[in-house]
Amino acid sequence: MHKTRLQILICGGTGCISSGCLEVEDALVAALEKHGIRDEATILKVGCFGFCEQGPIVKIYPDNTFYVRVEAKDCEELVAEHLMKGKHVDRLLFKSPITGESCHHHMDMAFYKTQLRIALMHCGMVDPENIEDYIGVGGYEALAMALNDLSQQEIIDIVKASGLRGRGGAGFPTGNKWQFGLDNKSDKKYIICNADEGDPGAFMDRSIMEGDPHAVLEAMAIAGKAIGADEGVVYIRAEYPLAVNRLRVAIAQAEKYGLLGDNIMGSGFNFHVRVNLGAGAFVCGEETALINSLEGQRGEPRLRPPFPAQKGFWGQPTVNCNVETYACIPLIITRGADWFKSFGTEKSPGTKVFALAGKINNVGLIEVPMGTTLREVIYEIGGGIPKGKKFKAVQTGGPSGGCISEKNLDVGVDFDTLTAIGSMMGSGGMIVMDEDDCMVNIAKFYLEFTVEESCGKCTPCRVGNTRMYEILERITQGKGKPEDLVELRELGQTIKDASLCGLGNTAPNPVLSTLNHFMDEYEAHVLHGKCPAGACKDLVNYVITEKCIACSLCAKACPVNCIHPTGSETPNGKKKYVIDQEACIKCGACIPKCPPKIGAIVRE
Amino acid sequence: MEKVNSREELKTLRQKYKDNVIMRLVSDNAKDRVEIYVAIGDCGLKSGARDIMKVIFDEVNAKRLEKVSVIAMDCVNGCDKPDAPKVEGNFACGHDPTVDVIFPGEATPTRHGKVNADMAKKIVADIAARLEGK
Ligand SMILES: Cc1cc2nc3c(=O)[nH]c(=O)nc-3n(C[C@H](O)[C@H](O)[C@H](O)COP(=O)(O)O)c2cc1C
Ligand code: SF4
Ligand code: SF4
Ligand code: SF4
Ligand code: FES
Repeated sequence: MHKTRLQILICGGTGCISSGCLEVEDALVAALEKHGIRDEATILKVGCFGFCEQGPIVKIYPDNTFYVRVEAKDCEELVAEHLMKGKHVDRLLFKSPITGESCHHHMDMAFYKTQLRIALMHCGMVDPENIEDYIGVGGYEALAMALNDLSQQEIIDIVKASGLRGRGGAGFPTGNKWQFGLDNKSDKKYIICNADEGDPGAFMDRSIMEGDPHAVLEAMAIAGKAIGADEGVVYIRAEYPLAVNRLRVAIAQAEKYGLLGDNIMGSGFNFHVRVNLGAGAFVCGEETALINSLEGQRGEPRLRPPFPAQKGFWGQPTVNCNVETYACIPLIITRGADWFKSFGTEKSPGTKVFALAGKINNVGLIEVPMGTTLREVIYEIGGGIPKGKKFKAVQTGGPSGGCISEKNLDVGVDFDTLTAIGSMMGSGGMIVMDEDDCMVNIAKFYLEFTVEESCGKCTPCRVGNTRMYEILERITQGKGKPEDLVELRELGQTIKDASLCGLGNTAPNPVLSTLNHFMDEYEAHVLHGKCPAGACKDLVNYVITEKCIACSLCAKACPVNCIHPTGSETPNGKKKYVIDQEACIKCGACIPKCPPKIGAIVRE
Repeated sequence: MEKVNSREELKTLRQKYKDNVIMRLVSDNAKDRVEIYVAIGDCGLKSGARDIMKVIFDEVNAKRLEKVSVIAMDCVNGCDKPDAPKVEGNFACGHDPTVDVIFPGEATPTRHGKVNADMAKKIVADIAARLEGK
């Protein structure tokens, strides 16, 4: 049965590779050899555990011990203490940000307790470069069912009944899309997997492909059977070399086993998958632009209709779904539509993967049932806001989404509720902001991204968004006028209505939602020339008050040497310090230098 | 490299490769497994607990007890921890090798002291019998 007493999983995701997991692997092997127990442990490199911020992660089975921030130099102690003597190495255990206690088991961690993994079920669990692991957990059984037991219509009916909606952003019912793919008759059809993932900060799809590539491939083959396609393409950005490599390894292994390619499992069904590298423009994630790009044309959106399911790749019926959408399919087939529907909300069944980031204690990749409240995500899984700061907003949906304020924290997230409160599910970015973040500035950041990424094909998006950006820039510089706020709203609505593709249709969302929820901040900038969060540099001044005792510490810290002893005299005859406002670059470095008891430097 | 020519062949392969992953599957669902803890801390080590752990592991393997995990632990009632919580059959130091067995849902483990190879085999056999009885 078990080949070794221990299985040691090292995270081999992009996050942990950059924090040094490969060195950890070497050091671990060396330490095991030194202690003469190399044969007691199998070492496996797996996909992302979702806790990249705490990487490299090492998980020990069957103990279920979850070690974080493991460095090569820790491996000797880990082997000598834990593996040789059964003593946990406390300093490498994760400490709860709330209680400070060590979490001995991975299930004790609040980060994992409330999560429910469907799309990520085998991510961080199977060896993505070894198809045997995937077969061992039941992989390719769904494809076997699709090829042997189910008709095309029956496959589609299961997907429809599951209520699965596209995870790429728009939430279109996947089963209906497949139905169009089946109903549009043609000798040649295509399956596309959209792995472009261009949202800033998003890495959901990358992690799935790095950690469980076979789930995506198996699902594509099932979709191929369902609509009658024999060719699939994964459109993936070239900046994801590890995911590209793992996909290629997985395709080669599946072909060797006869699980992809010609005559799959002796059924007579053929399905070939190839990987296509994209150049990385955000708009290429839009499915019609993606298809243009696949055909070697400029990555610009096409007019819809016709939809890809009618006339897609090379003019043929094409079904395109997102990576995470596909990752749910094999389990929906093997466990059934009812199983899937037992999670999530009525209109958005199942789970959603989010990349949790920003001002939050536990940064990482999480998967929760639809309907989980933002409060649960932020305070339980995310462990709350660091440094005791106050929560201000959470941004969902990336550059297409919006900001959600405190008053909506108890909303359960799904496609429809997020839209109702002026944001969007998008692909699953979730960025938390605290009292130090200026909402005008945040809106400007997202708009800057879309302005840069607009393909320029249509005027409302190209000109309108630039215009909005200029207005926001003026406001953050203190040159805004009250009329600007009206114009922002009007422009935003026009751009939404008149743009050709989803990029333009949604680009004003970050501005409109902050106008709705944080009008007071806009007004503070425009009417009073103040940035309440102190983030807009042009609206803040650093000044030294009368409390100064002339210790000179701040002057030494100032990178531009603009603090000079030119003020009034202190009781013991020294000159108080003064900041030269012309020269100050508003870096804030001086503030922490002033002794806390004195606290003479203030930001106005 | 086997080529899969039918779904039956996939099933055969799955049975074979399940051995790769069964430890992870069972551990991730830890509330349903039987856990055998062997104390291999300093005193355990001296008393040969590592060999006992090996005997237990081999027995569990030979019997293909999928839902049983063999886990190493630190000394339980060691000389350095006079305040260690009392469990049923709590022994003083010097009773190593110590083996704890805990079934799903049980609050405290059943403790065995001075375990030799034969006793180790018996412990595993008892677990197997109890699992079958269910
Ligand atoms: C500007 C823009 C960028 C997009 N980027 C992506 C992307 O990176 N990945 C993705 O799956 N869908 C993206 N989409 C949505 C796709 O057009 C399409 O709806 C989706 O891939 C369909 O798959 P799904 O039904 O599984 O969500 C984007 C849409 C727009 C307008
Ligand atoms: S809305 Fe923007 S990105 Fe989309 S087609 Fe028009 S210009 Fe290009
Ligand atoms: S804010 Fe920075 S530049 Fe300005 S006075 Fe302080 S240290 Fe100098
Ligand atoms: S650090 Fe504070 S007290 Fe010292 S010189 Fe600067 S402002 Fe004055
Ligand atoms: S890459 Fe290692 S936990 Fe995410």
